[in-house]
This record gives sequence, structure tokens and C-alpha cells, in this order.
Amino acid sequence: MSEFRFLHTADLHLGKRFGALPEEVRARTAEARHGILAHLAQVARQHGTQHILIAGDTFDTETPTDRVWRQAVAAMGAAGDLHWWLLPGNHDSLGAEALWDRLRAAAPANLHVLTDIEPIEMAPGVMLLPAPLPRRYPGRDLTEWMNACETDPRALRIGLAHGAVRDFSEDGGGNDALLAIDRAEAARLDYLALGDWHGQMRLGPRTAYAGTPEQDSFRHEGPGACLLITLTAPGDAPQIERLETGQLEWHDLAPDLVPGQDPAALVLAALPADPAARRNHLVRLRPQGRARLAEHAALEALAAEVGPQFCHFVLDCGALAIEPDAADLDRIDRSGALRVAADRLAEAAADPARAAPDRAVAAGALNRLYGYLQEGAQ
Amino acid sequence: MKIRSITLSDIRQFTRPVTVGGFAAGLNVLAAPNEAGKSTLFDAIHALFFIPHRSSRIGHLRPEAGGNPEIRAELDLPDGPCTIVKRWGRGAMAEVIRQGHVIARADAAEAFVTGLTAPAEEGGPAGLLWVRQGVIALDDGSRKEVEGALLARRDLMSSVTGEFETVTGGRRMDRALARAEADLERLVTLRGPKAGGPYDRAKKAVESLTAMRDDLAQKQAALRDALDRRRAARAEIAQWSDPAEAAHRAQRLVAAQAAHEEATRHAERLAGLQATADHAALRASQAEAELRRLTEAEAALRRASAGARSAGEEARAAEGAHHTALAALGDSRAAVEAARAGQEQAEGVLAAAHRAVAQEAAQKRRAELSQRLATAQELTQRLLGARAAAQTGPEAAAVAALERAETTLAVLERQGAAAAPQIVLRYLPGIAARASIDGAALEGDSPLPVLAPLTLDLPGLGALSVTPGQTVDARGLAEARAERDRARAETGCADLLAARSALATRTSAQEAVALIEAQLRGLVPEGIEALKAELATLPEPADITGPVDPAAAEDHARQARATLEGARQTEARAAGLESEARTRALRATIAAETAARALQQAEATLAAFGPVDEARTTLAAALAAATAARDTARASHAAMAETAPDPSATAAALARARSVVEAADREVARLGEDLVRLETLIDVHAGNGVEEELADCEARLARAGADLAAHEHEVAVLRCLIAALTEAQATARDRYFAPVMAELRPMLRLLWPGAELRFDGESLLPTQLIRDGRAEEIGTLSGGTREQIALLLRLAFARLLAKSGRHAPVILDDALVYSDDDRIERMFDALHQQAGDIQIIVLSCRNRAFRDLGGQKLTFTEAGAV
Repeated sequence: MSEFRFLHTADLHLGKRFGALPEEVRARTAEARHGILAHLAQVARQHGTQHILIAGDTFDTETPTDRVWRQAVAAMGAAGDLHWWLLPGNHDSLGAEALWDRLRAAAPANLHVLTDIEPIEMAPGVMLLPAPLPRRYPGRDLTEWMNACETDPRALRIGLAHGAVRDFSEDGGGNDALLAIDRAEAARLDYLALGDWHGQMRLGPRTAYAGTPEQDSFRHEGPGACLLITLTAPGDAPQIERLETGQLEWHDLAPDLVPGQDPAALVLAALPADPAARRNHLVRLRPQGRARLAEHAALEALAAEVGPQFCHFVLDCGALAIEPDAADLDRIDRSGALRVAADRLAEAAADPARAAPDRAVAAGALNRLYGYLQEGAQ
Repeated sequence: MKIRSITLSDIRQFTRPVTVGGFAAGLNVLAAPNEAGKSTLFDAIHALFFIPHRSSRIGHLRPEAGGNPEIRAELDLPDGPCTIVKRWGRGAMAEVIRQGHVIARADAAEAFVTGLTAPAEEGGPAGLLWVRQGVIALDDGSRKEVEGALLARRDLMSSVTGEFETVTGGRRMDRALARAEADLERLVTLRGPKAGGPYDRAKKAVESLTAMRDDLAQKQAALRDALDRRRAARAEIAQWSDPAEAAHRAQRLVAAQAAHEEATRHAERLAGLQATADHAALRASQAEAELRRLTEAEAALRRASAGARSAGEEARAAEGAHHTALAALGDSRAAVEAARAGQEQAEGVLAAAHRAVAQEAAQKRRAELSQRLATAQELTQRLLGARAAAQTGPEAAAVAALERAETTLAVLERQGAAAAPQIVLRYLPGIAARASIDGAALEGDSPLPVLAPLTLDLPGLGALSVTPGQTVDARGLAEARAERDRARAETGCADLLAARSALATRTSAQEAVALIEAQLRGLVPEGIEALKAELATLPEPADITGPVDPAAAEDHARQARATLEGARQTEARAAGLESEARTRALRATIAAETAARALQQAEATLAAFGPVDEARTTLAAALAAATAARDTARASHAAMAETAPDPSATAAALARARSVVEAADREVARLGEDLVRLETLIDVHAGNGVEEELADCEARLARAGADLAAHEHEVAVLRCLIAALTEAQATARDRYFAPVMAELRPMLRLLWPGAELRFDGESLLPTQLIRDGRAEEIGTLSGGTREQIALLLRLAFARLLAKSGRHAPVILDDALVYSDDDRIERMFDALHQQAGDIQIIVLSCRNRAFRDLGGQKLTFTEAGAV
């Protein structure tokens, strides 16, 4: 047979609302998430494949709104030249009967809802072995049946599953339901397409997590992507190619600072250089370690200056300890009551006998005093 | 610098030179009345140091008559004594002289003077330490003076503890504090988050989202529950609707119905056999009963016959006993009547005895009361007489007046007689004729006082008229007599002796009245009428008959009562015995009649059976036949019952089988309805995206929580900063003013133990007085307290100046205007305390008040005066 190509993707989490983000950012992230279906279709066509395998968590919840699932069905139906293969994951498990009942009822012919544990011939000579999740935490390895599943030895065997193999679980679920890492070999699969881990990761020559095509948190660096899988013959190693699909990039920057560094320069170096491209980036800047008052102020000034260029920019200095030096304190005052107050605050901020929240409050107060006086100086 | 002496020439009222000399190093006092020149001296010292000799600003010092003001001052400087001389106007000059040599003139001399002390407007100590009249508080005076004083304080404090701004953070501190307070006010008020502020919004957002999250979680739980229940319902319906199961239930129902019908038929046959056996048993039972009744009738006849005999005998015996009891009752009733008559007679005797005793007591009382009444009536008569006598005769006052009038008259008469001329006639022997006055012969050798004009008839000679002139107070005598006559008439008596006698009689009668009244009160305390009333209530005397020994009568009556009681008890017992005997007789009669009727009935019952032996044989044969038939039927029933199915068990099995089928139908119907309801619920909730909403809400809640935490942190940060700044500022301010307070505190505490002052950083002046743990604004204190604080503060500043090497005299022109005597004493103590190393010059018009200040007394001395 000729080679068989398909797109492997997972974890679209359609309907996710990003409540943790400010209102003005949520609309963009939600829209990028919904637009990923059309984008995947476009990528599939660009790479000459008619099949898109979604390895679970197409929807963010088991009861998405009518608007969400109907628009998703419409988007997939609109790409009538492609076949969409949907596997229930832990977020949209078969426990969500209402969802899957409705999907089945409303699904166009090119939308295949994989709710049963049985092999399906997705194309002539290509058998798909799905492992749908019956409930959110199934408590067992749902791919185990694939070992005993006999198919035409001349056919390609593709496994489709959702869940953690090692400790890769987005939900931190218990590891009593780990998928066997050698399932592809044990079940004679030409490829095992996995979902759940939002980062892309290959676990072997025949096993990979596709990651989410549109990132949804600061947990994974870089843009979302999918995998283009090419199978040539049963038993042959698959060709696996990463294709970037995400519109938005999430950056979780946690530079470990020491006094004397130029924190603004460090951060700037980690940010996209092109200011115009920054509108597609979300940044969480969580400096760690220690900084002087001036360095702290520089970080805040940087955030105030470049933050608005980004889709979302948040500076969290909660983990950055203030270590004022003599120059910092001199800038507050060389002597007198201001200096006394500053010294006391600095002492309280560094006092190990105090509780961490009290130290943080004292550090914040010192920082604020510095800021007030610097504002006045300017 | 210390002033030793100062001489003024042509300055205001001092057109001739005057000197104030003898200044001491410590406290100096110039106490003089107004217009004496104290303020002139003050202004002169000021001019000496601060008005250049060429200045025209000395108009206020020039005398009205004109002249050129000149001042000469002897000073002690650190490098030795010197003299400064300055003159203004024509011949203006300035010189500094040391050891008899002029060491500086004109501008050089002015420069020398300026070097001693800076002008007040430039912060010189004069603005701080020299208090002219009317300037009481530290911030009084013209704007220039106030600014000069502030400058002086700043200069002084800067030299002691540094710049105030440097120490306390100054405006930068104020700006940071104001920013922090403004930022905090934007977030919170004293009561909590500021309404409508960002903190308040964050808090409300968390509350709102929490409520929304809880609501959505509830909805989600409801949805999950509905899904679970729908799944269970579907599974159950599938189970109930399984065709094999349904067929099995139907088969079980048919089998149960058949088994039950068979059991029913068997049961009917058994019931027939049971009825036959029951009928035979009934007949056997009836025959047995008849036989038993016959036997019992024979026994009853025998018992009735014996009973009738026995009852007749008992009735007769009871009648006899009743007659005996009746007789005993009659005897006892007669005894009672006799005892009652005896008791009545004894009671009569007792009553008569009591009446006799009462009559005797009444007679005694009557006699006593009659005696008292007679005595009282006699006393009453005497009282009337005594009272009449007590009203008769003169009053004691009238008698006393008469005595006084008589005495006065006698005195006047004796005085008149003593003063009047006397006529003494000495008849010649042998001459019988006698002179006479108004016909009365006048004896010789006896002096005759001439109290009034009189005429002596001198027989043979004529008449001799004698007028006594003014030697006798005839008018006073007449008035005395008239008074005596009026007093006498008042007494109603002829003379004083009679009046005294009448008064004695009246007094005696009054004493008698009092005595009789006392006797009457003792005799009849309630009055005569009450005595009469009591007498009227007493019975008239009557004859007393019969025995008068009540004790014997009482004893006799008691015995009669006991006899009656004994007779009555005997009667009661006899009546009881009679009643019992009567009852027994009646019962025995009734029993005899009843036994007779029972005998008749037994005879009749037995007669109903006919011939007794024949009846017994017939009944025995019928009993045997019925017993055999019963036993046969029972044996057949037992044999059939052993093999018969249990109809109740088959009925229960049938009911169960039928209920299973019906329950299945009902359950399917119920589950179907549930399913419809659940489907609807699921459709509604699922379509609304409850979980999606919940996930979103939880994420937003987490963000809102973080936002709230950030605001809480912000509030904590601002409060921490404000506290740190406020504390540091207060500490710095205290430290800044510590040197002043160190000087001030001992003096301050002379007035108010434990007192402190709080200073303002801008004015460098005290704003609050802390005493008795209470802070009082300086502006609210009394004028006296304020002037005392101001003066003490100046002294403290003076000491600070001295410590910094700038000795300057303190000059106070009537600086204690409002202080009371007690405070002024303590202020004097403070002045003495400070005058140890500071020259203090006190000018006051309160000569008396400042007499006790002590120190060196200063005076104005005209030049050349000794």
C-alpha cells in the first residue's frame, strides 16, 4: 500500500474561558482556541492528508455550551474533505453522555466519534485502535486491549489514547492509570498517538504526545503544534514531523537574579525582539532571587514600559527578595528619620525571625518608600 | 557678654544723664512704677547694639525737647571689660574704649558691636532672648520679629543638633508620608475597605464570585447526579424490559394460579368432612349435657330439702334474740332520761353561784366609784372657788409698777426735802402764839422744808409768804405722784400695802387651783363624766339567794355530766345490739323463705324429665351413637388433610408472582417518567455549559482572590510604611528637641511635675504641653501658662546659647503679666536656677510682686548723685 499520512493533535480544550486572565485578554485566547480547527484543517490540506486524529480533550469540559460544541461541529463539518477522529479524553470522557449523544446525533459524515473500544478501519488497510476514557479517572490502562486485538497483518495499526505515561499528566492525576510506555511495541502498533500532555514529546520511535495546537497556559514554552505522521508500511518506523500551529505564545520567565545584575536587560533578552510581534505573546515575569531597590524599581519600570506591547504581561515580584544596599538606602536618605525608617524596614525584611509574610510586607514598604522618593526626585 | 552699667543721656525723659549700674553676672531686677524709664532702658540697650550711630531711626529715643541721644555701656567680654559709647544726631559718634584707650571709632566701633551679637532680623539672640513689654508669647510681635525669632531658633538648634529637615526627613519625609497616606486612603477607611475603592471592589468580586462558584458547583453536582441517575435508570429499564425475564415472570404467574386453584378445591372437600365431624360432636355434646342436667337436678332437690329445714330453725332463734335486745334498749333509755334531769339541776345550781359572785364584785366597784365621785365633786366645788380667788386682786406686774412708782416718788420727795429751804421757828419763851400754815399750828424748833410756796400766818404779825424758788423739782414730783396714783389705780387697792396683801391672796389661790387640779387628775383621770358613765353601767344591788360556793357547784355539775355521758354510752350500745339482732332475725326469715322456693323449683325441674330411670337410659343411648359418628368423621378428615396442599401458601405464591409482574410494569413506567425528567434537566444544564461556567468562575475567583490578596498586601505595606515613617519622624523630632528639653525640663517641672513639651518641626516652638499624662494644645492654655512656658523656653534657649559659647543677656521687660502669686514664686525659682551662668535682666512695674524675686536690685541714678 502507499504511505498513509495523518495529523496527530490533542487537547484542544475548546470552550476554555481563561478566567484567570484579564477580560481584554480572554477574548483573544478563546478566539485563538476556537480558530485552531480551521487552522488544523488548513495545515492538513497543506501537507496532503485527509485525516486528523484528536487524542482526547477536544472539549474543556464534559458539558460545553451549545455554542461551543455546535460551532466545533460546524467547523469540522465545513472541512468536508477531511476526516476528524475524536477520542473522549479525561476532560470530555464518555461520562459526558449528553455531549457525546449530541455529537453523534449532530455529527456530519466526516466526523467520527470514537466511543467504543473496537478497531475501526479509518481507511483501507489502516486500522485505528481507540481507547476512549469511560470516565475522568478510569483507574486502569485503557490501551491494554490493543495487545489482544487482531487485525489484518497487512494493515497499519494506529493506537489512539489519552492519559499519562510517566508523570505526564496535566491534571496531576494519580499514576494508577499509567499507560504502558511500550504499548506500541507490545500491541504491534505502527504508531501510538497520545494526548493529555500539552507539550509535544516523543516517547519512542512509535509513540508521541502531540501537545496542544494552541497553548493555554504558561506551563509550556513556545507556540502550540501538532504532528504530521507518515506511515509507509506495517512495522516500518513512522515519520514524525512537528508542525507549529499556535497563534499565541506563552512565556513564563523566572530569571534568578542576584544583586548587581541588570534585570531589565536579562528580561528583555528573553522577550521577542520584534515589538510588533509582541502582541501575540503572553508573558509572566516572576523574578526569583534577590535584587536591590533600584533593580527592583527597574523591573517595575520595564513592566510599565514594555508590558502594554504584549497580549498580556504580568510582573510578579513575590519571590524576589529585596536586598537593599548602602547606595539604595543613601538614595532614600543619608541620615535622619527617613534613613532610620528605611533601615528598620530593611532590617525587618531580612529578619529570619519574622514570618515570611511579615518580611514581604516590610520589603514592600521599603520598596514603596524608595519608589515614592524616586518619583519625587524625578 | 555681660552688661555692667549703662548711662543714658538725652533719651526720652532722661534729658539729664542717668545711670543704671551695678549689674550682676546673674539675676538683675529693675522694679519701678510706670513711666520710670524701664522700657526706655530696654530700647536704649537695643539701640546700642542694633542701631548704627549714623542712623536716623532714633526718633523714638529723642526727648520731646530735642537733643542728641547718647548711650554709654560698660560691658564684660570674654577678653576683658570694655566701654561702648554711641551718640546719634548732631555729633553722632561711636567708640569702643578698653583700658582707657579708644580701640575703635565710628564704623570700626559699629563692626565691633555687630560682632558681639547679630541683629534680631538676622537671627541674633535679641530676637530670641530680649522680650520687650507686651510681647508675651514666643510667636508674638511683628512679622519681622517673629521671623527673626524663628531664624534665631533655627540657627541655635542647627548649631546644637543640626538641621531640622536633615534630622526629621523634612519635606521628603512629609511627601512620602502624604503619598502613603493618600494611597492608603484610596483603599481603606477606619472602618474597613473604602466603599467603591479598588480594595472594596476586589473584596466584593471575591464574594460575588464565591457565591457564583457555589451556585455553579451546586448546579454541576445536580447535573452529575442527574447523569448518574439517568444512567442507572436506563440500566434498570433495560433490565426490566429484558424479554427472557418478562417471560419467566409470566410463567411463574400461570403456575402459581394453577397451584392455587388445586389447593382451593382440596380445601373445600376438607371443609365438608370437618362439618360432618362437627355436627356429630355437637349431638354427642348435647346428649352428654342432658344426662348431666338430670343428675344435677336430683342432687339439687336433695340440697334444697336440707336447706329449707335448716333455715326455718335459724329464723326462729334469731327472732328470740331480737326480743331480748329490745328490752335492754328500753332500760338504757330510761337511765339516760334520769341522768339528764340530774345534770340540768346541777347546771342550774352552778349558774346561780356564778351570778352571786358577779353581784358581789359589782357592789364593791359601785361603792368605790361612788366614793371617788363624791370626793371629786367636792374638789370641783373647791376648784371653782379657788379659780375665782385666783382671778381676784392685782396682777404681780401692777404691784411691781406701784412699788417702782412709790420708790420714785419717795426718792424725789427726799431729794426735794433735802434741797428745799427750811424754816425753823423758835418761839420765845412765854409766847403762846403760834404760827400756822393753812390753819395748822407750827411747832417750834422743828425744821419745815419749803417745797412749795407757802404762807405762814404769824399771829400778831401778819403773814409770811415763802417761795422756795427753783430748788424743788415740782414738776417731776407731780409726775411721780401722778404715776404712783395711776399705778395704784391699776392695782385697785388703796395703797401699796393693800396691794401687796391682795397679790399674796391671789397667788395663794392660784397655787390652790394647781393643787386641786392635780388631785382631780389623780382621782378621776378620765374625768367625772366618765366615772359617772361607768357607775351607770354597774347593776343595781339585788338579793342574792342560794349557795354561793361556785367550786362545790362546779364539782356537782361535772359529776352530773359524767353520769349523763355514761348513760348515753350504755344506751348507744343497747341500740347497736338491738339493731344487729333485728337484722339477723330479718335475714334468717328471708333465708327460710328462699330455701322453701328453691325446694319447689328443684322439685319442678326433676319432674320435667319424667320418670327418672327411663330418662337416664334414653339419654345414654343417644350419647353413644353421636360419639361414634363424630370419631368416624374426624378420622376421615385427618387422612385427607395429610395430603392436601396449603391454600394460604399457594395464595401467597400467586400474590407474589402477580406483584412481580405488576411491579415490573410500574417500575418501567416510573423509570420512564424519571428518565424524561432527567433528560430535561440534563438538556437544560448541559446546554448551558455548567461545567464550562464553573471552570471559568473558578479561574476568575482564583484571579480575584489573588487580586484581593494583592490589595491586602498593599494595605499591609502602606500601613507598615506609614508606621515606620511616623515612628521614625516622632523619634527624630524628640531627639532633635532633646537638648532644649534637657535645659527646659528642670524648670518646667518646677511648675508642673512630670510635664513635657512637644515641639513643632516648622516653627521649632512647643505645640503641646503634656502634664498628668494629658496632651494640651498650647493655644488652649491660659495666658499665664503660655507666658510662663514662653519665658522658660527663652531661658532654655539662653542656656543653649551659653553652652555654644554665645553668652547673651536675657532681658525681660514685664514678661510675667498674667502669672498668679504661686506661679510667679516658682518662676522666680526658675529664674534663679538659670541665672547661675546667664545674665538675666528683669524689668517690671510690679514693684511689690517682684520684691521677692531676689537678685541684684537696679535703680536709675542721676549723674553726679551720690
